Amino acid sequence: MQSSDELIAEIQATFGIHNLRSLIEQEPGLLNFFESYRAHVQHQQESTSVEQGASDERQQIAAALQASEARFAATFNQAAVGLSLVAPDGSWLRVNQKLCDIVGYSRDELSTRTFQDLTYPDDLEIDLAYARRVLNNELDQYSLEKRYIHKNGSLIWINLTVSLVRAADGTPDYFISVIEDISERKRAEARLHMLVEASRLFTAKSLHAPDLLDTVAQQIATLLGDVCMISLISDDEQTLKPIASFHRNPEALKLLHTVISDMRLHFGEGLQGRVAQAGQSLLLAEIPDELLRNIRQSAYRPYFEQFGVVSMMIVPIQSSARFLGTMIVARDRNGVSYTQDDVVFATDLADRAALAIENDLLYRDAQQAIHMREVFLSIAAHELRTPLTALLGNAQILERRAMRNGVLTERDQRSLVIIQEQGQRLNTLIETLLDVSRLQLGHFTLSVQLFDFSAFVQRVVDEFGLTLHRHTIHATIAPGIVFKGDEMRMEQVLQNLLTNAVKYSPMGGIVDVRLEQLAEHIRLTITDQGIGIPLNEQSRLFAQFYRASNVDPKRISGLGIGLYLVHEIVAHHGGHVQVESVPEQGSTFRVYLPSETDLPAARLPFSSAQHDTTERG
Amino acid sequence: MSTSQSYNVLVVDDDYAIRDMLTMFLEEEGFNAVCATNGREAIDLLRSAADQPRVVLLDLNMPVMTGWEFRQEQQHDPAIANVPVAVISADRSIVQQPTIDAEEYFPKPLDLDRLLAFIQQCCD
Repeated sequence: MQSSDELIAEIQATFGIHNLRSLIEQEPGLLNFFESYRAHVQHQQESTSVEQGASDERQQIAAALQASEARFAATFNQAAVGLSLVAPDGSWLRVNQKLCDIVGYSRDELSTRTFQDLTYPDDLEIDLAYARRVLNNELDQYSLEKRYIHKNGSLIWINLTVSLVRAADGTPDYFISVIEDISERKRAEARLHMLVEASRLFTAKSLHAPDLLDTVAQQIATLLGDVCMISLISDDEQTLKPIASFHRNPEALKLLHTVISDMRLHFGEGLQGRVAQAGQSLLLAEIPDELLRNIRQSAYRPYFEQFGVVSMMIVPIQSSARFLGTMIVARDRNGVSYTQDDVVFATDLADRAALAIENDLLYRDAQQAIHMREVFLSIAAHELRTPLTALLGNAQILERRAMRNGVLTERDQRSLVIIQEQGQRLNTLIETLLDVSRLQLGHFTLSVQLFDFSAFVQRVVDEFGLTLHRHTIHATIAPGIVFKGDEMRMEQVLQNLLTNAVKYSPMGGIVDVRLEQLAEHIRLTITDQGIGIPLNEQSRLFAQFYRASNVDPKRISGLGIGLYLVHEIVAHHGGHVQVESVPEQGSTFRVYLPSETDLPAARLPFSSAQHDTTERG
Repeated sequence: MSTSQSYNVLVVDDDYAIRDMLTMFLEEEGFNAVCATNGREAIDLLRSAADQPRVVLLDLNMPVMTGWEFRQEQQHDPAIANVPVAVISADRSIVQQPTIDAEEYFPKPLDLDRLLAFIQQCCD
């Protein structure tokens, strides 16, 4: 007995088939085939060489040849892959049953055709080119994936391996072809590709709610045809409402839209309702008569009469967390029935769509929550301001009374001043919170006019200097610079930067303020000698509520909105802010503002603002 | 609230503490103030009074009838349309971008010195 390895090696040598081992791994029956085939060829050769010998011997050899021929024919026919012997001109000399099954033609039909006839035109050239190279001795054999046209007109993907058998004198005798049907694999690959593609598309769209479901429906109708309709569950979880639909035929889509525009299905009602309740897919490979009758009596009737329906799948759209809706995919009359395989594919697509829908819902929830927070902040700030108004009003009344009557001691007087100062401080904090919510809600506006920026900076710096004990301000202010902007907002910017310079240099030091007119910008520079900002945090410094990690909130408190406001106000003026800082040495903030005429028109305040219902009087 | 005696300032605000503070302030400064808690009350007061006040201090967000609605109705009634109105609002942006037509705008918390100067000017 030869070992199978030796046998394979021998067969490989005989036929020049280098990938025999991998072919046999895929299809073990091939080993039998090649073994019998080799024996048959050997007997043929022996029979020619002993033609002149004794008749006994000839008879013996003829019998052996017949036996090997029979054995070869049997293995050839029984092989589980398609096999053929093909003449150098492409005509089929011999084909096995499996090949007939693959292409849908009988043996007789194939005997009158060539492989060229059956090959899909796009794939023919490459096949012929390989065959030529084999005939020219440039290649021993080749293998390629190509398409045949089935007798029924459909395309079949096959994997083809071709070797050439040469006659004793070396002239090409015939090709041996091994043909494997890989349509299934190709379809799985194509669907996998589609799934990946669909996922990418759904996720890319997931932040644009109105387009998302239309995209999903369109993709699925195109992939699984002819029509796809997506219904989502209502907020009260009682009904399903068609949300998106697509048909490959625009006319059919138009008709479908009129049919489903007002449609609502109750949970558990109809097929969709049943799928919704059970959470399981439903395949109607063929439409049962009863359903056809129902459809004829339903709102779908005009659509059905024109386009028909031959097969249908209803798939639940559900994320891990909840049931979201259903997806119907159907084919018009003359279409092919859906298979369980299609249901698996549709379910995969629905799962991906569910993920995208879930993301979209979460995103909208988050947006809603942000909006609620800002509205709340805005209302809360106003509510805080009302008692503050009464408080500060009474302090002012007390002060006026005391001035009239002269009854307050100096200490009482000081307490009164502190009450008023701190009340104002509280008011500024409330205003800051309101500014943040205005920015978030897009209600932030500027009141723009031309003003003397040099004088403005000088005034703010002078006033600020009065409050300092441990710090010294050095100001270098170029005179005569004018700026077109919101003076109150710019005061907020300068106040915030000066306050920060002092706040983050708790050991005191010099705060340097410089105002310059550059070619295209006004530059305001504020430098301190404080604790500085770690380099890797400087880019995040202007984000809302951000506080640098080297700030100990137990020592230096703050909301983390000052620089956010500075950045936003400057940006609303068409300018920008730069920061430069070395930890333990200090920070420099540079505000660049456009020179007078450069303020973008879009940033100007609304000329006819409507009153804002979120801001209370 | 009284409509029989003559007064020169009408305070319209839904918050008790603010009405109280303003009446006390105005009385100490020598004015007579009458209060309304919303626009509707203010309209009724203006229409029933023998003498019109010299000025109305008007809050904006109020129940029943807002300051905006009050102002509209007031301006459409020739009998009371000429009474000057100053808006007192917690919305600071009202000063820069008024959403209502008025003589003057005072953001809350109120600067009483400024408010007093304005009222004196109206009563001269």
